[in-house]
Amino acid sequence: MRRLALFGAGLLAAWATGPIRAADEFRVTASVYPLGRITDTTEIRLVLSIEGSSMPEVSSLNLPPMKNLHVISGPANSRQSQMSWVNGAISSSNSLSMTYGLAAEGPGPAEIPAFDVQVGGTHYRTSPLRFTVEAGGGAPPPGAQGHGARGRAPQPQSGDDGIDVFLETHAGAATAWVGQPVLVETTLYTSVATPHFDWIDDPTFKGAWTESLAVDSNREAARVEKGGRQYMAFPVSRKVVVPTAPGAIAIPQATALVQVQRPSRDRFGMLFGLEPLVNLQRKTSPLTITARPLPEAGKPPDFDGTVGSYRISATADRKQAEVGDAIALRVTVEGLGSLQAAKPPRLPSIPDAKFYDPKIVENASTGANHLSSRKTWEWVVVPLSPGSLDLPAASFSYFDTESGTYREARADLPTVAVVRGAAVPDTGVARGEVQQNLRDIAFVKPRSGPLREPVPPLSRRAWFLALLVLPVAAVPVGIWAGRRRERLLTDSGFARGRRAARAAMKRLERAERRAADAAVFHEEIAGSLVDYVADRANRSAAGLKYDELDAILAGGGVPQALRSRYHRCLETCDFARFTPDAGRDGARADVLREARGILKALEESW
Amino acid sequence: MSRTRLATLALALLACAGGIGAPPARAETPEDVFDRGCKAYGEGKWDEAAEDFRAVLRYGFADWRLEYNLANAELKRGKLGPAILHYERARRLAPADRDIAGNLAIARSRSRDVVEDPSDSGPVAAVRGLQDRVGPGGQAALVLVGVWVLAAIVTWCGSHRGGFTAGWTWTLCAVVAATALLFLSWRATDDRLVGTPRAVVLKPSVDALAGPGMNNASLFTLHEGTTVEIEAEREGWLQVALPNGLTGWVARDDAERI
Repeated sequence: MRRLALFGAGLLAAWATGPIRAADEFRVTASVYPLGRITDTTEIRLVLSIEGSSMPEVSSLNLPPMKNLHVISGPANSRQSQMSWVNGAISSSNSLSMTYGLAAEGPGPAEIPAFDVQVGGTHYRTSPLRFTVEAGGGAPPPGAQGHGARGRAPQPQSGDDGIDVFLETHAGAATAWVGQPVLVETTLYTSVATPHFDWIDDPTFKGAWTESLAVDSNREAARVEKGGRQYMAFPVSRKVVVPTAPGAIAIPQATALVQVQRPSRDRFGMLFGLEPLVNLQRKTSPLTITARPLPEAGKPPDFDGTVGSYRISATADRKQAEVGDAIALRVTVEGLGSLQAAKPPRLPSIPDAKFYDPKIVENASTGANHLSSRKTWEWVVVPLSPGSLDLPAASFSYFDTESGTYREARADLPTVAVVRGAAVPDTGVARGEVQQNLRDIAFVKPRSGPLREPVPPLSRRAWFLALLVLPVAAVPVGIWAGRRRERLLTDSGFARGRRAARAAMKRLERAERRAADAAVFHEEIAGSLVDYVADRANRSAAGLKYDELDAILAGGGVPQALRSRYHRCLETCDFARFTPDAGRDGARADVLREARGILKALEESW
Repeated sequence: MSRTRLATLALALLACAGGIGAPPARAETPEDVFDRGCKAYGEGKWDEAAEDFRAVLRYGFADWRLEYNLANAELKRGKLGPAILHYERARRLAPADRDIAGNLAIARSRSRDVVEDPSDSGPVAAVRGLQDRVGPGGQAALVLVGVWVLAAIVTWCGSHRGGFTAGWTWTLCAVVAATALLFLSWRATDDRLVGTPRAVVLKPSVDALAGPGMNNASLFTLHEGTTVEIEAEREGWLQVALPNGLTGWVARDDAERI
């Protein structure tokens, strides 16, 4: 138990004091691998190792310019920690490895100068590294072979790798005309498995433009025999090189990184695929293609620089059409060479037909040593008038590489019979805004009725002026009528007063119709007179006595004589109501007349 | 009876029979002449068409189709001045018709004189186009409607206590403004299309002089089809003005009032 406590205390002390004690104790070393022979095809590794008691942190690191070397990958960092117990004391060590991949630029001396590494705020400086790069997998000078130019490392290199892997570049022709495409293909020959292949650099060409073509290395791989040895040949690059100026065109070296499985004598390892993987660098050999200038003699005026060997064909999709129909006109140029920059064949314009811009379909394919191209231009031609449409012959000028002369390919087109259609069809092929061919005046107007006599304008007609002025008078009348209507609706006294005479007259008429009954007759007469006064004064008629009625009339400014007539008429009616035999027919007519007269007089005087 | 007499008698009898069987001749109406002119125009007989349309005009009709058709025939005959004259007259009668405006533009484009009206572009041209489409008559009718709407609102608000609410007041102001605007537009359109006296040059080349008399200096030259404004008239002379400000006197026979 005591030992365990001591061990724990010691461990804690080591953890607590370790970082403080090791804060400024680092060892920085730079090394180059492999340690043995280094060739210009060897993958060189620069390993920067920083060791200390604590885990180092590199805050800045810039590799200096190196002699005959350049960085192709990295850095790849690797950290390690180790703790040891020695004689009862605990010690820890930590290391950081930073690995750069370097490539030699060629055989010769190489140097990595001393450089600074900042670790935890302290600058450390490495020692300079010097070594010699020997010739490894480089190719011998290019040499013409067969139809084209070929360059490769003819023998597998030995030394650091000693693995039989090399690149070979082949040009379709050593000499070409300016504008003539030359196929340049690079093949990887290997006798061992190559899990990975990648280009490190892709140099540019001068005096030519290039276009890379697709390569399927696995599908196009083939087993070949070279120098009595069996190889797997993988096409890894295919380019079309078109010289743009006469002279020598240098196809420079290109470097590739090839990962191979190193052959092993260990059959167990071979059986289970446990051979080690090795990264190798391989370079192509430089090639030169000589470009010859095109002759000036006999150059057609419409020559657009197309070089090769071509033929032309032309078709129209119909021989009969209606006015406005879309006729598809296809002209195809195909042959050996590049048609990428080829302009459309000449197609002279003709009257009575509208040509739209052509649609272009182009494809290219490669053969063993050549490039085949096919380009189709499709015009849409719309005939504008009926008749015979003689489509012009299409022509195409090019420089023939076989004969070394300029040639013109021609293709005739059929004559299309154009008839006037019943309607303008929907072409469905070419769409665009309808353009006016000619501007002319609109047609005459037919007569749709009798011709019109001169009439004064609307503004000078009497009814128009009357309607324009009428609101001046109509507005005051309308306002007065509206206000009166509103008062009738809202002021009951005013409304009763305005309706009093009419109601009284109606009651008198009712009395006249019922004159046979003396009581009813006189009651109606008296009621009409009383109701009239009550309505005008906006009072209730029930219970009004003679003196109250007289006071109301007097208040309304009714003269005394008329008030007396009113009073007498009421008394006559009241008397007659209660005396059945009173008042004969003639007397009732007099009462009725008197009542009407009184009401009329009241209307005038009140 | 000789053979000659017998033949003459037979011919006379045939003529009588023919006369009896034929329908009675009908006097040709102006409408018939108009239709004949349209047919002649369709057949490309421009001279006959123009003559027929002119004959109908002499009846005193004021039909825009007649003026338009005559202008078409004159233009086809190559008579630019009369064509523009009758297009202008047709436009006065039917300012909203697009064919008249289109044909007039084509005819003017063939005139040698390029007379640019500074106000014939931008928003002013757009407003004028709208005014022409509605026409003076249409605008007058709109003014009448506006006045009655105004009267109705005033009557309604005035006949009720508290009728002039804020909403009605704003509505009233809007209607007043719209009606006033319509009135101004109507008067301007009427003045532009009808009120301003204008004439069209009928001679191929006419010198505009500094005064009403041949002894005056020539200020500028007008060509057939050019439309000018008439500023004054005096003893067989017209004082004409162009939109660019030039004024001069031309003989009355060299230009015809629209």
